[in-house]
Amino acid sequence: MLELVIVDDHPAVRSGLIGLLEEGEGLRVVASAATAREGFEAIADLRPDIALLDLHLPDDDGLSLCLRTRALPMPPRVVIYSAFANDGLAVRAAIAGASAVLAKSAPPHVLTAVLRGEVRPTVDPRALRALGARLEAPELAVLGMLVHGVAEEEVATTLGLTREQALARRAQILARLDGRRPLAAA
Amino acid sequence: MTQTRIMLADDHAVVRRGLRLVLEGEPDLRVVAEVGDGAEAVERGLRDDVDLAVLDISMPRMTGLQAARELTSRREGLRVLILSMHDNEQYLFEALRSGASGYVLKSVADRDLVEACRATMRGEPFLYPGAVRALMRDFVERARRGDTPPDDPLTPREVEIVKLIAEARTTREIAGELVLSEKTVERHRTNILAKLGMRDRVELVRYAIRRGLVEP
Repeated sequence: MLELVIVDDHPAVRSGLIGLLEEGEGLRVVASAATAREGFEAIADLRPDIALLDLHLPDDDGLSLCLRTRALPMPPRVVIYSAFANDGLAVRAAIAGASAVLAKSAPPHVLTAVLRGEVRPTVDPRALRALGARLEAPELAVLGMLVHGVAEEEVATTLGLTREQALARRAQILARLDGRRPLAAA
Repeated sequence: MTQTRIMLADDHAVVRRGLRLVLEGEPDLRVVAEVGDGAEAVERGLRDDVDLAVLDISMPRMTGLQAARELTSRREGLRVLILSMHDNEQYLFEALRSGASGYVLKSVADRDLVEACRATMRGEPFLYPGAVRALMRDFVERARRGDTPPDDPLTPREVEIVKLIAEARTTREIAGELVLSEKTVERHRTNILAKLGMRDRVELVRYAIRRGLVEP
């Protein structure tokens, strides 16, 4: 039985997911939260196998919550849930350490397949090039490894960074891709 | 006890599922139809035995607002509620103009939807507190300036075509969808651009996004 925490600010989405997953085999919702803060607490406390995170949350965005979630010891797999799923988002989600992006319009059988990890996400090479063009060379190395499925610890080791430094670097990359001013290096 | 027969329209199956759970917890409400886009909502809403249509504002093919306009003008007595993720005055005003008797925010649907359905069936409007404030402010401002509300420059048919153009449909596809000739679609397109003082599709898409006809 795979345990799941849902973070989404829409009550209809939360109850819809719980209702839907109750019927299927092998997945169980252990907590649902409406904000990133509550969601992070639930994930840290309950240690689920999977976290399903809405991209737009009232107090944070799903990708930064994803990064923080993946920094936990023995973190869950993260699936980003969005009404606006596109190829660019798939690349950014990979940088944040998510294992997949799921469109809210996906039919129930796709939803359960992605949550169970039965569908391998693919990254569109054009979206990858477009986003890559906006990054510096050292950032490109991180991007390349992450979208090719290199484990997060291995990325850090390869670059001679500590776990925290590697996470800070990834947060910076996301900020740059979102057009925000990169935070000072931690 | 008479049950209110409800049609749910939302393009996300998960959301429909959640809304159904919220509504079916109440003995006086029953979901009798579920649809995934606005055009289907019009079709079923006109044909099926439903008292109330709950329409998501942003759906493919036809928005909830367009569907509301069709349903309220073509089927007397059918009540409509608009569900929206946008706490936005323009959408709210459009919803009321389209004949909906209420506007419910998705972020509080678990709290408000049941009450909204009951209010609507009693023949009362349902608005969340922020919406009431927005309407009052708008009313007061208009009264001070002495204007009347501006009319929509586009006809409902033209609005339908704008949405389909913004969804990147070809002229042929639009003609097929609306059962018009390609020539008529072209003519509508020219008229729309002239009315709005726009040059091309890019400007039209921006307009469609501003009006909530498509998602950015």
